[in-house]
Amino acid sequence: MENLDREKVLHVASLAKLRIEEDEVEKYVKELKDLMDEVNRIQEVEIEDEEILISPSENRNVYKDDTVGSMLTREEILKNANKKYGSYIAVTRALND
Amino acid sequence: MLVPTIGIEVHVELKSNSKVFSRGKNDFNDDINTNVDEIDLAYPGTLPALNKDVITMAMKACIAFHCDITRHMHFDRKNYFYPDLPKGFQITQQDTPIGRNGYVEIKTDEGIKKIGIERIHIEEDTCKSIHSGKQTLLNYNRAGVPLIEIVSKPVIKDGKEAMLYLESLRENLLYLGVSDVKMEEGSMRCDANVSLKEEDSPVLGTKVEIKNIGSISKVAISINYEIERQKKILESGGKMKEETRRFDDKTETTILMRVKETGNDYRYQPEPNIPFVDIDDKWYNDTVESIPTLPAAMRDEYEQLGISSNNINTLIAYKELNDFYREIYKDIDSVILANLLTGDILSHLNKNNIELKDTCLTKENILKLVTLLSKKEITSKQGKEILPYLLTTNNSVDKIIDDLGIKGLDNSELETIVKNVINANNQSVVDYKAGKEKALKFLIGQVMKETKGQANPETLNKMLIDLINKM
Amino acid sequence: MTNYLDLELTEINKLLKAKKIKPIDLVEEAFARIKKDELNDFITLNEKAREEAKALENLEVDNLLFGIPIAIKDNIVTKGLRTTCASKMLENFDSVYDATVIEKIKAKHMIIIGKTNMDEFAMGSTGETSYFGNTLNPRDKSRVPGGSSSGSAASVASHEVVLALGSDTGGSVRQPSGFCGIVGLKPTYGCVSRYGLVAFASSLDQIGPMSKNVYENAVLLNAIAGLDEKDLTSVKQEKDFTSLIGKDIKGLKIGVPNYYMSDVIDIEVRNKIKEVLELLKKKGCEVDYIDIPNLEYAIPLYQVIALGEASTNLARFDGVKYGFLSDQEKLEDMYTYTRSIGFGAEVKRRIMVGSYVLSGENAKTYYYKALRLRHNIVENFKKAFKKYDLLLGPTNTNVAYPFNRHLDNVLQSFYDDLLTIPVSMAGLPALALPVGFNKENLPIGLQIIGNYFKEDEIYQLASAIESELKLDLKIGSDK
Repeated sequence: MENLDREKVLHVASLAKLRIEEDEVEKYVKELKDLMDEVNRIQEVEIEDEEILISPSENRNVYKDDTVGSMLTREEILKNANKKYGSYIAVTRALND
Repeated sequence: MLVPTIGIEVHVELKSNSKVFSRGKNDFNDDINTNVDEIDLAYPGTLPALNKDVITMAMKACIAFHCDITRHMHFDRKNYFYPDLPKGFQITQQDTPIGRNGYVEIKTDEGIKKIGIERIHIEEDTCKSIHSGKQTLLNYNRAGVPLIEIVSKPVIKDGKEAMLYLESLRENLLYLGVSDVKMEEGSMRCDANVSLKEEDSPVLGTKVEIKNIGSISKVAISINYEIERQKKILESGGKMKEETRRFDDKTETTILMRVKETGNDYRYQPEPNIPFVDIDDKWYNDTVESIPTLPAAMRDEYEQLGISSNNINTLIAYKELNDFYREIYKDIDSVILANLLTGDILSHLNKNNIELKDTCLTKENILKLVTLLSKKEITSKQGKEILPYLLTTNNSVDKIIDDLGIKGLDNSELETIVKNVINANNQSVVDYKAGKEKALKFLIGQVMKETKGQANPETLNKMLIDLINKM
Repeated sequence: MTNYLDLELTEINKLLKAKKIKPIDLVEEAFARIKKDELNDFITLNEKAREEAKALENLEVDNLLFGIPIAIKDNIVTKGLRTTCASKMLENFDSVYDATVIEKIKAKHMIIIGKTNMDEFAMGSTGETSYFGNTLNPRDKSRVPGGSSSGSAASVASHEVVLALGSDTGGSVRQPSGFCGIVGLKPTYGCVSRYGLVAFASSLDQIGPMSKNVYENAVLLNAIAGLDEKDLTSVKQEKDFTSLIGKDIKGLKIGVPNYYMSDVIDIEVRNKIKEVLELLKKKGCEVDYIDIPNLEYAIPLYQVIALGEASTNLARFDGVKYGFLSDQEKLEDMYTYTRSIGFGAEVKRRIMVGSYVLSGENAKTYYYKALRLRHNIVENFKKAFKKYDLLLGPTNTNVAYPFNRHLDNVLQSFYDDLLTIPVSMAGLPALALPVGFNKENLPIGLQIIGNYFKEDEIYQLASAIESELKLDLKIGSDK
């Protein structure tokens, strides 16, 4: 098992877009370690079967029609958005160039 | 010696009616934020529902590009945060791309070359975003539009090959009917990975990704620029950094966007909400059979028919003209028809910035016109006079000929006139027989005057000589 | 105050049909009870419930569920009635669409009384992770009601409503049903459409009915089950789930996995289950103790799969389209502040674990290994069902415990689900049934696990046990 340290926790937090304050880092390291100790148990079990199970559903080849269904009104689209600009949903600028 | 290695990733929007995982309308050019349902907006509780036609369209592309088809597929989540990605992940096919290991053929100066295709997979498009002031503005019409991503093997050696490769992809996708493939509108988008390595080195060099190039010709320009840029750096002892650059239209150079961090961590994960897709033999065979004649086969056929290579390229490039052409070319003089379509008709369309369907041209009329021309009952000059009326009015060819006062002379009428002219100009006949070529020209002039220029010059010439010789 | 909500569904239906009562009477009684009980089991009450009840007065009472008050877990979206998932992130969120199950219960003219309290985003087993405060266990207000469907269980147990919908990912219907002494079913994965259920772990989540007794549970399942073209994993259901209720159970083959009767299970709980097993033998059932391999790995498996899925399912909460936003000058700050302020501690912890097990090489080491192990566990359950009609064990390792017990133990909330998680991993149906009380008068739940889509057989056995035991489950009654 790789080393679960402070750097790793901060990397994962940046992937998950969570802000971890300086005084929380050690707590997260410990909690994650505790959980991963438990999770590591699955390494001990040997299974011959290579097959993976993505979902318990045995459905296969289930599709929707290629037809246009009912869509939201613009008012509904913008309804819960925090920032709007005309017909757009707005967000802090994503690109600097 | 340093040699370039180029790989190209192409995203192509498929033209299904509805989006790939929702029943939102697949047309992002409609009014801003109108073709959106709760799935496209990633509302809590929504689930993706897969569009079967998208699989069929992607399969068509895979077959056209000679890929192995994956018969048992699932989808995966590709996780990253960006404002244009509503769910915080993109549904794509990481483990089981629908197509693998294909190729397209291009004609290079050294002959036919196969450009390998690593994989083709299905995924969903993101929102269209506009960056304005301190904000980024999001239009969800494009969110969930079906895409295929076509990833080439790193076997392209320069901008020219890249261009030929892209043109071949574009042409085939257009004729498969699965996409509009318009780079200027974004329904075909292209990123190129360029690296240089010592010719005998087994290891590839550090690659630079060029993103968002606006047209096929600019792909060539940007790649060639990038090759030269990297050469200069490496030859002067510099080191390449893995980075993303964009092509700048004005300066025709590439500009640094960002230096890549050590590997992206997309945390790929199978998508549990979409059941396995199993492509059985019937679905596969039906798809194979639904594939229309593709450009390579058309080219061969047109060459056999004797159509000039310029006209062949023009026809293939303008699918609408070519479709029209293919509906009737077997019944008439296909060379004349090709000339008309790629000549006067195309320039009319371009001049007025319209499409063939926007004109009044009918199959009946063009058939008639080509027949008159091929039987030489009218001159090509007359054809040129008639054509604009076929494009802009609903009149028949006969009516237009009448209106223009073009008498489609038949040969017996012409013969009467020729005989009269001969009788009235005995001296010229004598002169011609004595070897004076000018005299024949005079006689032709006289006939033309009588017929108001409607006689076919070739026919007239032959008839006149025949009649004089009989005297 | 009237006492119609203490009656059985069929009796209420008779009164409605005979026009002796109106739906509004039931609504008024529900609201009055909720106010009086002070269990904090609802996050939002439906302001329009009275209006909706009035509108039913001129309609024919055409089905058993007509006019019946129901409580909805607050992770099932309702248009016009906010859906919070008990999170600050969705504190003011009003969906633009109704979940499929909501459409179905509206078609039956049920009346939604309100949205029930729960663990935030269904992550927890005590109700304590709710942004809106703890839900109290109506049987003992100093104890947790269980979770995550805390409010749904509490509101049914206290007779504030007749029925409720919960959701179960690793035990979130069954465990609180056990702690509150009601009947709760987690249907087969695919039996009920998940469209409109805010996803925690997509391959495990199921919406389940919660009720005072077995028959009413089956009636509600009849109303919500079935194929939905919006949920590709859903399956057509043609049977009447009540049809085997009352049928003789003689000859049923029952397996009791040893895993379910181990030393970690409270002795009073085990003894109560053994009593039930003895009863079943008397009734002519065959009962065998059996081994199902690898069940002991179900919890770490769950941590990898459920939290891996949760970490990506919760990525959509970014303050852009809906939900809480902490507006910032820099995009990166906008994301991290929004998500760190909007999500509570347990949710963040689980997102961290889920992201960790999927990142870099871990995807291979943990995630894909877990998917293989999951396949193996499913096969092992299938083998057991070749020999047995139903599997039995306790629902929980113990009875409801006092608040604040687990605050510092990150693993405990998973261990509460020790006996419910294996079933979730396999996608099998399972029902929690109250079978008695311990010395402190706290209910003990039996868990009946059926083969895929055999909910009718589960109800058959559950109903037989229920009518043998004749427990008085009404709170405040003498037992």
